[in-house]
Amino acid sequence: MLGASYALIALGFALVFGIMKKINLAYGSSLLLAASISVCLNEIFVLSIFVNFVTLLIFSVIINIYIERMCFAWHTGPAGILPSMIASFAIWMQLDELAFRLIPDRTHFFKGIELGSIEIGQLFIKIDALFHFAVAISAMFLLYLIMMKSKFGLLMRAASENANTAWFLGARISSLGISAFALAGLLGGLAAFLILSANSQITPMFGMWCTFKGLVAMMLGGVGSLIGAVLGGLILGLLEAFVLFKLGVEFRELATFGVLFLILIIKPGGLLGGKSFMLIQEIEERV
Amino acid sequence: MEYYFGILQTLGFHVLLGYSAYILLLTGQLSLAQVGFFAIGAYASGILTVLFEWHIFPALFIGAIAAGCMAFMVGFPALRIKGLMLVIATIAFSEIVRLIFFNLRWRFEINGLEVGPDGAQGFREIRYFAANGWEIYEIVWLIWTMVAVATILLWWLDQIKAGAILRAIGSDELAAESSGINVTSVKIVAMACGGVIAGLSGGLYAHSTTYVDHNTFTVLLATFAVSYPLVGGLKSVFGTLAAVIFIQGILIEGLRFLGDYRTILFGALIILVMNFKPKGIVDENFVKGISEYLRLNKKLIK
Repeated sequence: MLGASYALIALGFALVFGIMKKINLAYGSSLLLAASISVCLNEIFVLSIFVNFVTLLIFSVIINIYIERMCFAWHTGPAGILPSMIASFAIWMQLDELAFRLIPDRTHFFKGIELGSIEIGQLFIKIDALFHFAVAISAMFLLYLIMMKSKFGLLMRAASENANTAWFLGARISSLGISAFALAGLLGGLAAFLILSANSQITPMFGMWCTFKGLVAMMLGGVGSLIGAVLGGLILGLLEAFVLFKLGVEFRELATFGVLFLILIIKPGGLLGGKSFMLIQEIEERV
Repeated sequence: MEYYFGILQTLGFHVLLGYSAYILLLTGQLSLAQVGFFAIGAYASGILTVLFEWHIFPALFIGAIAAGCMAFMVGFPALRIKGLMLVIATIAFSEIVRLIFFNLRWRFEINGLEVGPDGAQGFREIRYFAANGWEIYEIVWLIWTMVAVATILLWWLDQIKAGAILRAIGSDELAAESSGINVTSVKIVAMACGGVIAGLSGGLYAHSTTYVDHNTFTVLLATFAVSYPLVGGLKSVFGTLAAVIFIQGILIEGLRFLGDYRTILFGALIILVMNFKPKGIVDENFVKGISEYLRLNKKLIK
């Protein structure tokens, strides 16, 4: 079930990576900050879950646009990979610190959706988990429609294939960058809401956790490929559940990073990332 | 006075950590594994002095060598990939090391006291300096001697052929390879050197703080390590030194009066530097400017 949420976060990474060819390391922190703002608002004025959800999404979009303006708009082209990454680390620190200010305790209650559970034979299934899964899958489907059918999606795909050519043909790359970040923020906000309402608590570690899980899922599936990101997320979810079941809690994170390291060494492009990976290498060699 | 000595110690570790990232950045590789080697050095030399009651110098030496060997072993597979993939792979490596130390429990009794790394509790009893009556200025002196040695070695590296080879790989890998440089082996040697420096720094850190735990060795520290050379510029080793003093000494210690909000301001300053001077503070123009200024002065004196 967690796999679907991982897949959503990985999609956020993959969208940004596709357009920018850069990795936004402040992504998880942006989700953490958005979630903590909505928790804070909820504590001051007791709001309904729906309003909570909407504020989370709005803030996540705003913060992601801020990240884009601060780090990524300045550094275009492959030469900007390192400075933009350091800058996004700096943003990461900023956002985390702000989130610590907002939710000073280690753990905070997060109001989520609770629907009870059903039993099918031996299996004991929580309805809200199923609901989360359905929401995540439908969000992915919606994203697929946007990317494949609309003009915006066409522009995005063109820009991710070759930004220069797209620019010559009249696409506005900078505004596309903003919208990619906004869309990533939207997806990430949704994923954060689903994960947090499943855990019904929020800790300051959530940001780093999100960043790593999304990154691992994206790398597993294939760099910059949207379908790969979904696949990677689902595989990661399955793998974690399996390791948790077989070996215990201590080995779960270890297995995640071990698999990531192995994948990167054996097949650096990830499982599905052949084409886009070659593209990146080509760009890097031209530098 | 103690406070200033404390700052000097912190500066020392960070300078060494920055150097270990610097030497790898010269070849154009951005590695966040430095903190993993730092952790290995810290734990290895701590275990040697505490559990096996070694003298500090061989322990530091073995810790550094252990980290260097690890870097060598990691270098083989990891340096086949480059750029962003290498960054992610090295993050994964650092996290693996951190999680291994998080789960490491190896305690037994020495002189009636149970000592050793204790999983999530950390490794508490590294009291070599206190047990052998070292004064704080002696510790600072030890750390800064190491820093000075490392600085001189790296500066010397820039004067000889090896430095030219490293920079050649950094500026154009293809051209370097076609002029007969074995790129992969040079990168691995650079990685191992970086590992040794980071391990040394880790050993010093463990002994002067007397306590290490897995929380120290997060990606944040790795970012600091690579941001020193990047902020300072890769033109000269003194750029890294200046960046450490600028970031750790002035920004972090100097902004202490702002309380916890300094992290936010600190982030903003880093972003500013990266946006306006993406090649670092001590970049080519800066070096040119200084050398021109010096030349001008010489003419005036004549």
